[in-house]
Amino acid sequence: MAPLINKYEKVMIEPEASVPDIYVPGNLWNVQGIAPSLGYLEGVLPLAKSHGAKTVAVLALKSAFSLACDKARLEQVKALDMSLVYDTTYALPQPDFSSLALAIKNAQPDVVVVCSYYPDAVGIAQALQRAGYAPKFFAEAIGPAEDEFTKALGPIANRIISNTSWWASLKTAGNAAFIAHYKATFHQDPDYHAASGYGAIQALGAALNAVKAIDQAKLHDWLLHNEVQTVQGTFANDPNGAAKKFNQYLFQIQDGTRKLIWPLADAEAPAQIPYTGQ
Amino acid sequence: MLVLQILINGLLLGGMYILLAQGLNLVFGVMGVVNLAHGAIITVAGLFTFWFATHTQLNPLVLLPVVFVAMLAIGALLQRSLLEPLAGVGRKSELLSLMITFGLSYVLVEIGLDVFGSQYVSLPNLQTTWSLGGLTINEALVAAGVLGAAISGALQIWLRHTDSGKCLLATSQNRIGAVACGIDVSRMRCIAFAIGSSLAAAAGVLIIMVIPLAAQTADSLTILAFVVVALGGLGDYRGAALAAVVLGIAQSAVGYYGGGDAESVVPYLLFILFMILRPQGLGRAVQAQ
Repeated sequence: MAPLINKYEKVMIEPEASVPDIYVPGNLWNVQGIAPSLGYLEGVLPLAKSHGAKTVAVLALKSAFSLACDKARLEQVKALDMSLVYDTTYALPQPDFSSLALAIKNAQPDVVVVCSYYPDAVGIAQALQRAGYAPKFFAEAIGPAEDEFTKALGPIANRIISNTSWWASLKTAGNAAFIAHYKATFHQDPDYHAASGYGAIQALGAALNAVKAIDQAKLHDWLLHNEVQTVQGTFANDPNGAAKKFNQYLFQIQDGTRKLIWPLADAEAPAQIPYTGQ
Repeated sequence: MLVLQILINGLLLGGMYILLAQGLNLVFGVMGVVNLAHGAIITVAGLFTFWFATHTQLNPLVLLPVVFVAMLAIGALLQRSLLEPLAGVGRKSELLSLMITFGLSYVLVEIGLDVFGSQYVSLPNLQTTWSLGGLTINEALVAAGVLGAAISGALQIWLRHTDSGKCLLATSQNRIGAVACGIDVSRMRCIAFAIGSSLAAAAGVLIIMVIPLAAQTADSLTILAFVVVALGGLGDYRGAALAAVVLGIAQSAVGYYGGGDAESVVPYLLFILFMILRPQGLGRAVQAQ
């Protein structure tokens, strides 16, 4: 999409595009509407370290999003002076993770971080369980937020940690009304994908109200130089359009429900440790 | 112990590959058709199993015989309506049947997307893991492996020790000779496709408990099954079983020592090597004519 909208100079807010590589001088008409992927799972290692964890294993799918997350987590391992005991990437299709799970088991990490998408999150969790290994902390970037994740895994989903840029309990602008309207319309709870989409429209609405025109250059300029309070938090972007003020949070699946566990100031419940794999 | 675990993982993975591949092998062996819809049948059966299990709360394994029998009928219908008319076309029939099964694959994938959506799904059944002296063995993979082995064994027994099986084998070896012996080769083609489709559907019922599936994963399963069949020798059932085990062990070892990237490449690298060095595959190839 980026080449198209930049060719025709149309503003496009990207509520699901977290990859930082998109927001470069050649793609100035893309405006990021979600927290960057570099920050996904950024709370896991500090949280784990505060509970005595020392060793880390990181897996990442070879996609732009996952590799950005992977790179950031590997740098974080060094910065926190933790020990990286296993690190690998993989490409699709990957129907079986048993050999990677065996390698992780042999490395005996305290923390396993998986930067990938939903199907691999399921596959890796299944493979670790089949290998008979449960790390003290098990975090997966994308997947655990979906209802299908817990349906697919059953009890082994319990205590898996994941990332979100939005949560229902947060006191962000319009959050309560957004949740109420969403539930009334779709008869289910919203997740962060819905929230980032809604937040993108909040930002666009604010820009349109301020500019009072659909002039693309004026809208673009307004979005890059102003902040908007949205359900996701503060919508603010750097000159390349990359988001700079969205927060990242961690949630954990606890006995079938999802609870915000980090940052501690926003936590609904303490993290349940260790991950048991059953 | 580590080497033993890698071997066991490889064997179990190989069992899953046998399950994926034998249906395709049967169809190729008898009809000379590479059924490109094979992966789509596996996937749609798996998705249906997911739907059934989540809506009825029944054990998905009860579907195994139901799906097998239903797919016999559907497979026969598909063969009669789509592939049998090509039987008399001559040399072009192989290419035409490839194109038809290619189209059928996408029709099934679209049906899967429309009915079940595009989300990956899996079932949390068969999650028990047994520990035996430091080795871990998982129930889902054992089930896939046991079923795969059972299918291979049953196929061998049927093909070599029953009249109908011998007729099917004869048809795959030499169609003209089979006709000369009074074998209804048209009926054999129908039976082969029906059973091949049923085996694929049965694989789908079990695979959904082993790996997540979505309608769009059909192609990758077809490719994987084809690689196993090609490594074993097209149309060779014992060869395919051996190839599945070799592939499983190779992937398991390479994945452990070389990482995820290296593991992904193994099936295709082996495929290229075999086509260059041993194109007849691991087993004795039974050439379809």
